[in-house]
Amino acid sequence: MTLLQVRDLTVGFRSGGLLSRLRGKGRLDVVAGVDFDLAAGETMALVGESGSGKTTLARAIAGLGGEVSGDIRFDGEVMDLRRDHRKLRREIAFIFQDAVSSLSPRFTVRSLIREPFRIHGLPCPEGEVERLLKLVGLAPEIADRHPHQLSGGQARRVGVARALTLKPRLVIADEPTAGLDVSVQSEVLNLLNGLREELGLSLLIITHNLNVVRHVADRMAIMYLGRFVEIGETAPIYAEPRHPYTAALLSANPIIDPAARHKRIDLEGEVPSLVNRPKGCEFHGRCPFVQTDCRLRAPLPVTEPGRRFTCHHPLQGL
Amino acid sequence: MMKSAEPVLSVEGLSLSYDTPHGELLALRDVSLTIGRGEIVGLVGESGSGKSSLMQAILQLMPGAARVTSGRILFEGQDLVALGPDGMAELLGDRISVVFQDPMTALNPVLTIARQMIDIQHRRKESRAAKRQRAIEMLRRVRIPDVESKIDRYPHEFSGGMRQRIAIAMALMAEPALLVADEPTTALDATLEIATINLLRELQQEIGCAILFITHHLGVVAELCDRIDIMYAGELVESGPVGPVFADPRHPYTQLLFACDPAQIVETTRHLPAIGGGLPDLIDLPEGCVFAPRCPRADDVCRMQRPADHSAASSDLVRCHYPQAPRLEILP
Repeated sequence: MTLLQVRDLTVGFRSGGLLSRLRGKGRLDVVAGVDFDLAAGETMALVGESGSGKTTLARAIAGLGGEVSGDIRFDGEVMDLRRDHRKLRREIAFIFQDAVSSLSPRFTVRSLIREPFRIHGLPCPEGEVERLLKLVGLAPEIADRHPHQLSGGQARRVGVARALTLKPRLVIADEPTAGLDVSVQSEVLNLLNGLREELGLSLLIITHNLNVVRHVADRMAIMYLGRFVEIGETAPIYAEPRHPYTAALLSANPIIDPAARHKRIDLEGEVPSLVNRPKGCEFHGRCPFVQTDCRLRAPLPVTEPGRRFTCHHPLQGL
Repeated sequence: MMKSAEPVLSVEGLSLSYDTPHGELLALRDVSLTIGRGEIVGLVGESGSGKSSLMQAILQLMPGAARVTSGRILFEGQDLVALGPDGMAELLGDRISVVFQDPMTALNPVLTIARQMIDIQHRRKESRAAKRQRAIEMLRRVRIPDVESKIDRYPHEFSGGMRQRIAIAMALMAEPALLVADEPTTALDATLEIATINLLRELQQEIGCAILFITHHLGVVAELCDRIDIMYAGELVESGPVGPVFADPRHPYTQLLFACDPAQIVETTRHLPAIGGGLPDLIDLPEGCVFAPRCPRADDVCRMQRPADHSAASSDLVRCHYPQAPRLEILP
C-alpha cells in the first residue's frame, strides 16, 4: 500500500531583490520535479551530496518550509501543505540532523517528550514517557536529565522517542547517524528498523553513508542538483548502477581494506550552481561518459522494472 | 616517504582533566602518541573518546576548565604544554595548521577569500601583490577553477567541496610541519570525500607535512593513512601501521569497532552488529581496564587491574592484558 505519493514536487526559495522578483527570476528551485512513492513499512534512503536538495525535499514533505508546488498525497489524500499542517505533523515525524541542538537545553527529557502532546492539545497518558524511553532503549532515569547530560547516542534516541510520541506513520530521519561511531550508529539504525517492523512505520532516511544504505534501505534515490537522477531497489542499484553519477558515487565510497583499492570513476569539475543550471543533461559537465546529445537535450526519465533513471546513455554491466 | 629519527610530534604520557561541579573528569589518561615527519596518522574513536580533547591539547586551545595533569607534548622538540600562549601563537598557522570540520565556520563570511588568504601571510615581509599571487597559486593547487576571477568572492559563493579545499589551501599556505585535520570530509559526499583525500595526499607529498587526521570513517583511514590510533574513553587503546592493524587488530575494542562497520559486512543485513553498553563515567572510572565492562573477554584480572601498554606483531601499542589472545568470535 502506498503511504506517500509525491508527484512533480518542486521546492523553491525566494532569492534576489524586488527587481529580479518582478522579472520573475526571484526564485531558486532547490528541488525540481521529484516523483516517488513510499509504501507503508518501507525504508527509502535519499542519497546525494550536501546541497543536492535532500534535506529541503524531506523538510517540504514534513511541511517545514520552502515554497512548495506539486502534488503530495498521504494515504491517498491530497495534502495541502498550508492547510493540513497540524494533521501532517501528527502523521509525519521528523528526526533532526543535530540531535543535541534539536532539543531545548532548558527542558528535561520528560518535558521534551511531553511537548508534542501539549502542542497538539492531547493528554499525555500516565507512564507514556517511560514507555517511549523503554521503546528506544533508554533507562527511565534519563527522563529527569537535561540534554547536555546526554551522550550523542542518547540524544539521538530521545529525538527518536520524541518523533514517535504521536504515533506517526512516516518518520523522516535527516542524517540519523552523522557523527556517531560505527557501533552507536548500528544501535540507532537497529532501533529505527525495529520500530519500523514493530509499528509498521515507513522510513525516509537521508544519509551520506553508502555503507548504511546498502543494509537498511529497501529502495534508494540519488539526488543531483535537486532532481532524482536514479531511483529504485537498493540491491540492483548497487549491483548495476545505470546513471553515471550513481556509479561514481558508489565507486568513490572509501573501503576499509587497504589492500584492495577498487576501480574508481573520477568526476571532473564542480557541482554547477542552482542559479545557473546547465543546459541539456545537468550532469554533462562532470560526466566521464558524456556525448554530444547530452549537452543539447535534457534526458527524459527511463523506467525499467524496479528502477527509473534520467540518462541518455545509461551504463550497462559496469 | 621520508622519515627522520625525530618525530614531528610526540605526546608522552599525557593526562588531562576537566574540573566539573561533580568532580574531576579524567578526559585523557596517559596517552602517548608519535607522528613521524611526513606521516599521515588517523585518529579514530567515538564521541566522548577524547579525540577532541587530545586535538585541543595539541593545539593548546583547551577550554578554561581543562588542566594537563601530567605528560608532555613535544613538537619538534619543544614542549607545547609549557610553551604558553605567545609561543603557541607563533607556531599556529605557521608550523602547525588546522582544517576544521565545517569550512563555513572556519572561513570568515564577511571577508573575501583573497583578503583572508593575504591576511594569513602576515608573517611574510612581502608586498600585498606578491601575497595575492601566492594565494592564487595555492588555490590553483587545490584545483579551484578560474582562480583569478573567483579569489575576490566571499565564502558563501563557493560550494561545500570548494570551501573545504579553500580551507585546506589556507592551512597549507605556510607549509606547516604538522596539519591537524578534524573530520574534514564528514560534510562531503563520497565523490568529494575521495577527491579531498586524494588532494590532501598529493599536497602532503609535495609539502612533506605530517597530518593528524581525525575521523569516524574507517574506510578513509584505510585509504589515506600510514598509521591508525584508536581511542576509547580517554585512552589510546591501540596504535600501529594501517595495513597490519586492519588485518589483525589486537585490542578487543578495535576488533569490535571494525566488525561493527557496515562496510565490513558483506551480506546485507537489517540487524547491524553493535558493541552494546556505553562509555564509562569519566568522573567515576571502573577499577580495572576501562573497556572491561563492555569486553566479551574480560576476566577478574581485567576488572581489577589497569592494563599496561604492550606491543604485538601487528600493533606497536595495545593497552590490554591479553594482546596475544586469539581474535574474538564476533556474531552479528
